[in-house]
Amino acid sequence: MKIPFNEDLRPDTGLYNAKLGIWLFLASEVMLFGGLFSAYIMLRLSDPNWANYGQSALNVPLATLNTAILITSSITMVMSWVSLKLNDIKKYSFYMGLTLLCSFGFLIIKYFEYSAKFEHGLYPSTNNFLAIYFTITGLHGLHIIGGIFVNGYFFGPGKKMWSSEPQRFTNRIEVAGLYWHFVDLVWIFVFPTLYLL
Amino acid sequence: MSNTHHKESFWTKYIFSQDHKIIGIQYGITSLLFLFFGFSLMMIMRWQLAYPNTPIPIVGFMFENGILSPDMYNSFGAMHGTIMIFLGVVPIVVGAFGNYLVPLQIGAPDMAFPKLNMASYWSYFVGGIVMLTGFFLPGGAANSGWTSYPPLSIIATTGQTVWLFGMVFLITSSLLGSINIIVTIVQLRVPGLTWMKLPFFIWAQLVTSFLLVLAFPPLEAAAIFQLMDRLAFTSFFMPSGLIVGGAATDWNGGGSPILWQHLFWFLAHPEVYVLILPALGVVGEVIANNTRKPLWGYKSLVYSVIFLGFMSFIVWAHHMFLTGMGQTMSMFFAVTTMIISVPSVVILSCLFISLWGGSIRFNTPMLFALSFLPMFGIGGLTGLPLGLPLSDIHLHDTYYVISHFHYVVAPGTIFAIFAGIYYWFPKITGKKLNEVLGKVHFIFSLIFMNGIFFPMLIQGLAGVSRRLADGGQSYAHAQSVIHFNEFMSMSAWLLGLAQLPFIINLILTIMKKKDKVPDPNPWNATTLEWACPSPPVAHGNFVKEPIVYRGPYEYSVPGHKSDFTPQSEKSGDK
Amino acid sequence: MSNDMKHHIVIYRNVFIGLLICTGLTVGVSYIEFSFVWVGVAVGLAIAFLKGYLVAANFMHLNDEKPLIYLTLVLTIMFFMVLFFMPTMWHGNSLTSPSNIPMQNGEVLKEMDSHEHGNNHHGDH
Repeated sequence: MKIPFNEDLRPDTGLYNAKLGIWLFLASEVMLFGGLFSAYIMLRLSDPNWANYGQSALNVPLATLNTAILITSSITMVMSWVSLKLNDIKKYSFYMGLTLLCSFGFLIIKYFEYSAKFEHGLYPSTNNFLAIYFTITGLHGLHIIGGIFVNGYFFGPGKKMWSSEPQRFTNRIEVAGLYWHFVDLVWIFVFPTLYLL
Repeated sequence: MSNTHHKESFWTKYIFSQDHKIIGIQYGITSLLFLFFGFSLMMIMRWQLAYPNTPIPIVGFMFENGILSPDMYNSFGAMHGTIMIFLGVVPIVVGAFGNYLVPLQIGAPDMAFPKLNMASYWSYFVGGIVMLTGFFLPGGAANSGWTSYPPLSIIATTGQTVWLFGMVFLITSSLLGSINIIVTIVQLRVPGLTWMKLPFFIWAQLVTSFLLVLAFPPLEAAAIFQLMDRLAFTSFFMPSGLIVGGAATDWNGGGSPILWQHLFWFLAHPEVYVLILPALGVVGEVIANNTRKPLWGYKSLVYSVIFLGFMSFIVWAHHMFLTGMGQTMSMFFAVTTMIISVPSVVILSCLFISLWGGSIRFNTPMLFALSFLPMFGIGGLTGLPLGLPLSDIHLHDTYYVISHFHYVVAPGTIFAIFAGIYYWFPKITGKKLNEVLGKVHFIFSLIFMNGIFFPMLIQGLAGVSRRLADGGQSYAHAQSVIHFNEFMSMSAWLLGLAQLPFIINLILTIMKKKDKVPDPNPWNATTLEWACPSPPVAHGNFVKEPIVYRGPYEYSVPGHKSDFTPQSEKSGDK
Repeated sequence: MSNDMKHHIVIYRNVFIGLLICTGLTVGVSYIEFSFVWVGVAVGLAIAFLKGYLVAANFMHLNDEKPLIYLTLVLTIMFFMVLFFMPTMWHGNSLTSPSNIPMQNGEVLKEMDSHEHGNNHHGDH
């Protein structure tokens, strides 16, 4: 029993199933981060004391570096998909490996940022700015970890599928890529909102 | 996916199944059990309301002094709401009916993502168990209402934390399930099944799934915030200067309790449409089949259900009229709430008009479907004074509200669920449920539902508040209507008894031996699920992939040889 | 196919450079003191939206995507906007906001006014 349109495109929609599935999932993620940003706005508007909550304690250069790292990981991710399209499995591994490296780099920098805060006695409970900062970046970090698991699987054991079903494998990388670009997209908004504005 | 037949173990065939039919049945059994449990909580609460301070019979030994303490009453109330909505009704209408019937009605061999389907059931199951563990914790289960308003929910006992973790599992289950349903409907329709030939049930499930995908995540965000508040002592929802029990709290404050209300109701309003839309779909199917004519106004039904889904996202603050919102906001939400009543009325009217000139068969599914119409009508009409800020000032948080939403969900959605179970049981098992037991189940359920919820309108208008452990005993303004409490409680217990014929019916029919070759279409229906065997082929549902030639409700077409022409039949007039 | 891919690779490289430049811009602009706070916010968000568009249109191939996908996204963005703008509208319209408190005397109104804008770094105390 075969599920139709798992790999080939359905004529009237022009999509394969997983592509529609991942975009719907991303739509739900937009609403999730929408809820978080909405909360941020409401908390900030209703608190006249916001400026004293220590946004200046955030490390902008480090976060800028993190932004650059994540953008790099996005391009290496799309290049890994392009490599598969060009039938080059070795290049795929190269780019996927780079993506994973960038992801780890992001997390390591995050670790330094968080521990610096804790050393200065700055916790989520200290004030509402820190609360929303830790919550939003924390949840984003969890999404990065999820991406690492998925990309790691496709870098390692999952790569076997290339030899038996190359089209299906390419589609899976495309779908994983969409998720990863979304994680990058969220950070593109989180960075200025929390660190700069 | 391999085409070769592999031997399945008991575990992969029945427990960790990827077959939408098994998963649908799993959802069905689990959610019916939760539904009965949630109802039992209420039956205990109703003793308290009818006979305050009298020991509860039969189960009283479980409680201190044999009665429910106010905290315990609140806990039962919060869990009753949570269980009925998130563990009972939504899993039945989306998880059970949706999962089982959507692939069948569109001619598909299974859902688009079978593994995801399995994951969503088990996520639901784990979430349900997690929620129930609250009852065994020292502080008891969550007791801040199913709405979990802060600051109360932040300072509540551990049961609330467990509630929040349970919600995370349930939301995950919902998201995975609804993505699956949307992709299935969009991608796996068989050739010939164009959008405007889809059964109304499928349209209802499609819109419902969109509501779940887009509305649940803000509640997930809110649940995360509440967990942070409870566990990490952040103050997302904790206001400054809160005094609890005469002392300041451990929270720094600066937060906004209203923020929780916004994020919660942003989901919870679309959630109530999730409760009703699949039910409208079921009623539509049963009515078309048992009037032997097409549904009236198919296009209006489709456009209304889409418009309803869209509008449901911009009415949520009508649950917050008493929070100090300004007049512009008040006006905005009152207007959108009034507008949203229009598509509901259109849908109900189309279903009513569908009866005109029909050759009505009064079997059990049809009786439930017919009674759904006026019951849902009462529910909808009682919503109007709640949607207008002026009258809502008096009625908010009274028994009037309880009556309103129970009318739409209890003799509303649940009757539709019963209609669906009686209607589709022969497809799932190859055997029809007993009609006599069904009719007994029906008539007493209808009578006692009204016995419980109609007097609540009177109590609410008199100003009796909801969530009072003594049912209003200690309030002067409630004294003139307090006598209804005993009557309503009696009705509730009798409603419980009235479910016995249903349970007996299920057991007896399941144990009965089925025919060698069960009738695939005992109701003489037109939609695709009746074009496969009963029960459907284990892997793949249909013996041969059907092709659709006509619309979903070709009953009594002039010139055709019988009074129904199935969707997959090429020519009807030989 | 190969030339098509090569063309895509060039686009990806250009987008990458564009994104890095925009990141630098975002940081740089944040140090400028605008006359009104909201101008700074608007510029910052505008650059963020530009970067977001570059990622979505090019890396996520939204440019060539089927209508079903971007219609779903349009719907999502509409509801996202509702969530996003609701706090501002609510806050400005609540019964305790200055616009709803009746005029008493000039002093009271001025006090409430500066309290509301207390988070503005051009505040008067």
